[in-house]
Amino acid sequence: MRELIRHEFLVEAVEPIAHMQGTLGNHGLFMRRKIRQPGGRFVSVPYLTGDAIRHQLREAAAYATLDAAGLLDNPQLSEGALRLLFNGGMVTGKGDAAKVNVERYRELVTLFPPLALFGGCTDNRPMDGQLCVDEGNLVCSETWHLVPAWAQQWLTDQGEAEHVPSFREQLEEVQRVRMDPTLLPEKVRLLSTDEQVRINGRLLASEQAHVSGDSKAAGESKSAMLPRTYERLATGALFVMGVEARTYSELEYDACLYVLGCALNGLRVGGMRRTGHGRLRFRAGARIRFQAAMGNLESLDTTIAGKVGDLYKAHVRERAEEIGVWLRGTIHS
Amino acid sequence: MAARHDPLVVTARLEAGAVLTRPPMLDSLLEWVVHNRAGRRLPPARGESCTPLDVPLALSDCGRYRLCSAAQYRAELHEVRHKHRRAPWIEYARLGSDKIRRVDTSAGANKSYRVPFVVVHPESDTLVWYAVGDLEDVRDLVSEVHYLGRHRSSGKGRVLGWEVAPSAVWPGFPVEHDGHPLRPLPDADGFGRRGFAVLMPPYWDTTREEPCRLPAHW
Repeated sequence: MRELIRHEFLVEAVEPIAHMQGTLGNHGLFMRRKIRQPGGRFVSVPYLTGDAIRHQLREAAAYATLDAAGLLDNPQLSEGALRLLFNGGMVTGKGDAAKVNVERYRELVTLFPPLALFGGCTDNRPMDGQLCVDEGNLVCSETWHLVPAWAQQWLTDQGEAEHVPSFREQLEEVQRVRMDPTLLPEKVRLLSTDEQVRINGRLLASEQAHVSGDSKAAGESKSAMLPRTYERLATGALFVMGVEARTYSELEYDACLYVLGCALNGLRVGGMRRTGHGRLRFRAGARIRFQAAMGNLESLDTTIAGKVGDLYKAHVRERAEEIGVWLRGTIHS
Repeated sequence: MAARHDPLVVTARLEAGAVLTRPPMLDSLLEWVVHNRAGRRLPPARGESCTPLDVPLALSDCGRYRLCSAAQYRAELHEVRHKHRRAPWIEYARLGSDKIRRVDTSAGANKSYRVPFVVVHPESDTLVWYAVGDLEDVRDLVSEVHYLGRHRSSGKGRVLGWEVAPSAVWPGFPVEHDGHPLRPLPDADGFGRRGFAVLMPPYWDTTREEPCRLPAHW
């Protein structure tokens, strides 16, 4: 059963999103890409990379499989297995990349269906995946022409398309400061006497350098306080995500849906997750089947349908021991 | 072999550029779809002998290449982006065996990387191919090609739509224009840079390279 299927999702940031492309001095820049506007000019618009979203799916697949196989309590996985599960593995030089061992490939994807979906390097050979994960487009006036028709209609029905904000309205700049505890007298009191003397000496040297304009001495005696700014997308920002999959069996199809469901239930992207950033929630979705006779659009709701994942979980449970041996043994990845 | 031999122009409209190290070849895209439809998932290995698949494009008189051009486009903008990899060291600590004691992220298997790549934005976000083949069959096959170029699995080179239409012809159509090759052609007299290239898919299998006349940007 070969299926070429595309899922599209509209997700909303329930926390600010900090997904950086780099820094300029102490300023973090949000990831951007060039988008051609209907008039022909290019604008750099913030977006979520396909790699970041794909990694979330890969992680969801890995945890879902380990959970179904009962391996999460005492995983004890090998380094190669972890690299394969969470990074897609690597070409190691062990094994023979010049030969396609179809039997071995069949064995592996039967044992561990996410390998077929996401691809990966095993036995020194990179294997193509069957999943294409689009860049996450921010819904804004600059990308409105790329928002799928169903999503435009859905947003119109919800009354959210009356004012589609520019990305500039959704991007905010915030400042965080890592304090230097030696600047706070109550913290300095916790130091040993010698250290208190040393810290006070440094503060005095800093003041003197400032007064005398000695930049070298000022640099040597400066505090470790680090104010920094960064760009983030505000809570409520909407993104369109797309995932396209080729599946060749009911098991792979079920695994794909289950992984998508698991990932969407706790989707987080970007950095600073420990300080209230990155959480996304599903708002609406659509499934597009590419078979000529079907070429239609189904809407999706926010829950994983009752039977999704049953086939996949049963498959993994049945082979739990075998999967455990494989993941704890030697994997060339 | 193509049942009908119509001169065709095939146009792909991209969402936001593609990572194109070389212009994609139309026959390789069609072979990829035929390969997948047959339920075959693994591409052949480098150096492995492979029989050309049946795609609806005409063969050249010499039978060594198909009558289709490489993608024709003029780059309007080049954009540098980066791909990152970080070792899953938190998972190493949480899920790994006791044998994993140290993860070196500066060298070896777990080295972190930040690799640049270039996204090409062609003029009008379109790529164009010229070919001789069966219009309906080509249209049917290209409709399953939704991404082009490298890094497709992370959404680069997404195709928003295809258009397959009859084309005007010119001397040398579809593989030459004003004597300049529009795809790698067996080496002979004529315009074009000389170099090594593959004449039939898979084009990435450099073990099958031979002396050729090369198109611009190859």
